[in-house]
Amino acid sequence: MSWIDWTVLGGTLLFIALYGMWKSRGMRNIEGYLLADKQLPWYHVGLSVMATQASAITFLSAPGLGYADGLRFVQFYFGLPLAMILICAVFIPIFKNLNVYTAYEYLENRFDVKTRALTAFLFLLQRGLSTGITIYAPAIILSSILNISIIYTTFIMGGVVILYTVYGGTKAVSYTQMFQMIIIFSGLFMAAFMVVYMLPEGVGFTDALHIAGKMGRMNAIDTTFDLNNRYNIWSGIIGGFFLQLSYFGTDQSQVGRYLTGSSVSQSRLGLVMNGLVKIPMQFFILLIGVLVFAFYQFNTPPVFFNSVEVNAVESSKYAQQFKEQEQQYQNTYAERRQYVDGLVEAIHTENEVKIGEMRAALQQSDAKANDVRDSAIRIISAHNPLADKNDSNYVFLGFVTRYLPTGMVGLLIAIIFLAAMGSTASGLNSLASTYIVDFYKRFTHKNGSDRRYLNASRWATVAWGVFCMIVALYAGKLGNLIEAVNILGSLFYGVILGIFITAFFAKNVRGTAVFYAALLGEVFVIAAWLTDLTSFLWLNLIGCVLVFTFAVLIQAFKKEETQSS
Amino acid sequence: MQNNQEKPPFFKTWGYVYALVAGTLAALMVLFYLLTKYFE
Repeated sequence: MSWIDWTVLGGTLLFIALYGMWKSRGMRNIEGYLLADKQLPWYHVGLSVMATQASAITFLSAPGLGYADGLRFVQFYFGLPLAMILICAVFIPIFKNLNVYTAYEYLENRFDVKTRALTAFLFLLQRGLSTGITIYAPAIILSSILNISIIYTTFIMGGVVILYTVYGGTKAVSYTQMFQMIIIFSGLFMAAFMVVYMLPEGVGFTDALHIAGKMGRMNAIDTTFDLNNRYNIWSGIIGGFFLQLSYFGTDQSQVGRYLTGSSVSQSRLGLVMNGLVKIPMQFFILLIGVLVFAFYQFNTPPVFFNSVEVNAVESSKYAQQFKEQEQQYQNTYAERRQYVDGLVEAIHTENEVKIGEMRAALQQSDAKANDVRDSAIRIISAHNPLADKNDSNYVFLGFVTRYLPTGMVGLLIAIIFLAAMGSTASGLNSLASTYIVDFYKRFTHKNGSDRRYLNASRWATVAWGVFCMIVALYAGKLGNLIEAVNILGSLFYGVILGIFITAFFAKNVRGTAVFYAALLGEVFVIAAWLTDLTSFLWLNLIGCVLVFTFAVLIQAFKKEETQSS
Repeated sequence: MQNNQEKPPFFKTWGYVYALVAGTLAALMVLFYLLTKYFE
């Protein structure tokens, strides 16, 4: 990176961090630290909710998914607007009226303390692991740029986020997230413009979409119903609805965002904004990946996008072997260029026969290129058996650093950092809130002063930060990170949602019944995942339905037992 | 106690706001479907 890029990167990060600290100065009580004094307007709530969900993973993995797999991942978000409606109508009024700090406080009110503790524990486990992954993602960038071990970059990245979160609390998180989202949107529009601008002369935006479409990348909608297909319209609407309902309705990292709204209306409007904007935003990020795919039809992509692994193998005894594969890959791409040009010409002249021929030729050429790529990956694995064979997280980053002009590289990398800071800060903040409110304050230090809880919250943020960094060190083995986070969420979210749905809609069910139902449900969900029973999105529905059903049945059985005795 | 009956700043009731969200989702799905068919 040039000094201009470093200046843009450093200046952006410094501005955001200082702005957050300035806005959160004079923090003296726990309500200010954990809930920003419940004074924020709807646009703050909305942008904060969006920034919490859109982590660095979103900007690293989603374009990679778009490049490798097309637009179909967008269907994953189809359940989100529907979940927003239910949360606005049911969840927000309940949480706001009870004046709770965390969603789990409500469960003691409705059921009992053990159900509250179990749910809070499941949240801490899931969110602690997920936040670890969100720290790991931007650490890849530093590792790639500075060419140093990811272990060091994880610790540097995690350390900066911990400092920032400990100082600022929720207020700083929300204020910085607003600016982060503005910079993120501006940077992404510029990136999309640049990809199209760098296409060869005579190839425009719609040509790029046509090329991508002929290669199966414009697959935004898949209407086939298949339980084992991760992304189709049905899994998106039904499975996605339960995942998003659970995430936004019961995950403290999100509940903590909209509880900062100054009224029920302001909190609701924040979520309505999310329901309207999220899908177009996600579509746009995936589209950037698709455009990068079109760009690489005219420019040879690297045989493997993870430059750290490539550099390592190039300085090993496998260097010659790897170089041969790289050469063969370049030759394959040089050969296929005639088919790409032929396809563009056929698209311009609307010659369907030729389009079909060129498409078939490109598919054959792709198969050949993939064989060469597989050989290259085998060489990387032979050199380092622990090397990550999935390079989709590096596609967008590789494109940015290789092709974008000076200044934009720094801005795009700053965007990924800002996204990481926003979501990780929310994660650590919610972990600290839940630990302090649902365990520390509830069980061990019931009558502490506000000052004591504030200090304890800061120390809890540090402790969770360290835990998340340790998790981050192992996150690289999880494949595509955005999928890893969602799979992890699906293992717990359905059960947690089932507990809340039972609380809201099964008025006769009591604490003990829902507690054992949740334990049983979690065992079933983990068993279903281990045995590959179905695609992970459905686990949210399964977990929720199982907990609700078990709770109602156990309650009915207990009633009968009580009556007969 | 928060006021659950607060009206939205636009539209008469929250039901209309929710209908707008659901309608936008439906419109986006139709748009994506057409996009998929057009470029495949």
